[in-house]
Amino acid sequence: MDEARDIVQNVLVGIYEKRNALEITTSIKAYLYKSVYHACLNALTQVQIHKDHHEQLKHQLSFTDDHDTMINAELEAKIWSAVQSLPGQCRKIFEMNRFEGMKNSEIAKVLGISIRTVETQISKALKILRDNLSDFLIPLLLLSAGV
Amino acid sequence: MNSHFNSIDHELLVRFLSGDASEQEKTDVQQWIEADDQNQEYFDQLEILWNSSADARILSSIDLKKDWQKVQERISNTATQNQKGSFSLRITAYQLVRIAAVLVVAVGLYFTIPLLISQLIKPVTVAASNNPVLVTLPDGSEVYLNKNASLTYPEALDGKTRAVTLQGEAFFEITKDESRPFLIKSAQAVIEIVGTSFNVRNIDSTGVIISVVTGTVLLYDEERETSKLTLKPGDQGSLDKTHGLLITSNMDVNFLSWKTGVLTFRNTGLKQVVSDLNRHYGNRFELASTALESCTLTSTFDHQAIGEVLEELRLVLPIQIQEKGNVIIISGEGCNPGQ
Repeated sequence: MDEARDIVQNVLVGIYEKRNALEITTSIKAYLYKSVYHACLNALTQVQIHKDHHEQLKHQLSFTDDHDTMINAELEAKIWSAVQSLPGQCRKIFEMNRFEGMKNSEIAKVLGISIRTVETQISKALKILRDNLSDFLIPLLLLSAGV
Repeated sequence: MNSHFNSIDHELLVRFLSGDASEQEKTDVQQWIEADDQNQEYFDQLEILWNSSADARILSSIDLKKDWQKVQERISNTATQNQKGSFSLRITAYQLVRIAAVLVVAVGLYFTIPLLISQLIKPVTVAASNNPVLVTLPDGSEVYLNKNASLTYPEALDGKTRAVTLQGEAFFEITKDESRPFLIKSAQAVIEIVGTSFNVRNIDSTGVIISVVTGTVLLYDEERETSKLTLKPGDQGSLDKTHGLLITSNMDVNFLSWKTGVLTFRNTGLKQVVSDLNRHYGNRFELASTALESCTLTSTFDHQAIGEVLEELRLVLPIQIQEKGNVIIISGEGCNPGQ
């Protein structure tokens, strides 16, 4: 994760430094995504020791659709910020289930409430998430059906 | 929203997604989903949210404000050196921070995926040495590797596409999965299939020849994805540096003999016979003169040794056979039409 943050920061600073020479014809978002993608490839190849590993890596990465990775990442980021906006206990319970991987029965025990209440809070969270993200989800569903 | 939509207890869906639902409850949920397309869509959305939210936890470990400050510090350090004025982009800092968050997760994913691939989901390579080898892939597809061929694939073969790399020659029988195209990389070519059987021959680093038996196959240069060649049963397509993408119809009945073990000749000219025998047994036959090309052969050889083949040729055709070291020379005066 630390490396990930470093790479992104480097890309952002690099763009700033080149700003007078830069001409971005697509969207800033697309440009940033592409820059980060290439920065990752560079960083990853430095991690490889053997040349044939590098070739295999390039081969594997060329089969990974970087669009999909970006879409997944974007979805996760949106989910995360939507979760941050959930009301108090609802958020806590949702995070315990999804982020910490706790079972509903365990959550009920720790918080001293009924399993039913846990389920109600989680379903409330899901409804809120879905309402917030429906604009993003519908094209996403179409995409995954088409591939 | 129709009436079905509200009739499901949402806590039931949560129990279903959490894996806490009883058998009866699971059935109830399935029935509700199947009852209406809107239900299906709603459920799909919840499922995506459910699955992705577990991964989203990784963002908790990032302090965006702190990281953004770091970027700003580095920028202002550069700025005081250059004195070029303030940093202004067409987008707001807030938007940039949000994009940065996505980028960080994406970078995290880029790191994880190759690491997973190289450490946990190791690419598996199977190679055939002197005998053909049958490889059964995790999705049920079967690949028959000819001698000295090798196949490399990710151990689980469960990505968005099913991708393998081939060196040499192999016959593929791919299980149909329209949602997950099967891709074969060989030399410079990419071969894309959906549930078919066909032969791929990779001669050297530059070219491939594909012969299709059933189904449809797309062949293209990995650097030029816009021109794809469509091959149907009976077609033979090739890609190489000299000729680029080419299509011919597949007239060579025996192109699969290495896999089936069977050689079939029906009024086949001796020149073609020798060519097929050479490919099957490994380059040992030679016709002494072009007169012999007038001879035809009708016979089938099923998993038979060279010796038996020679015996039969001698019986049926007016020829003499000489073995000179590794080469088998077939000589004679030729045949009358129809012999």
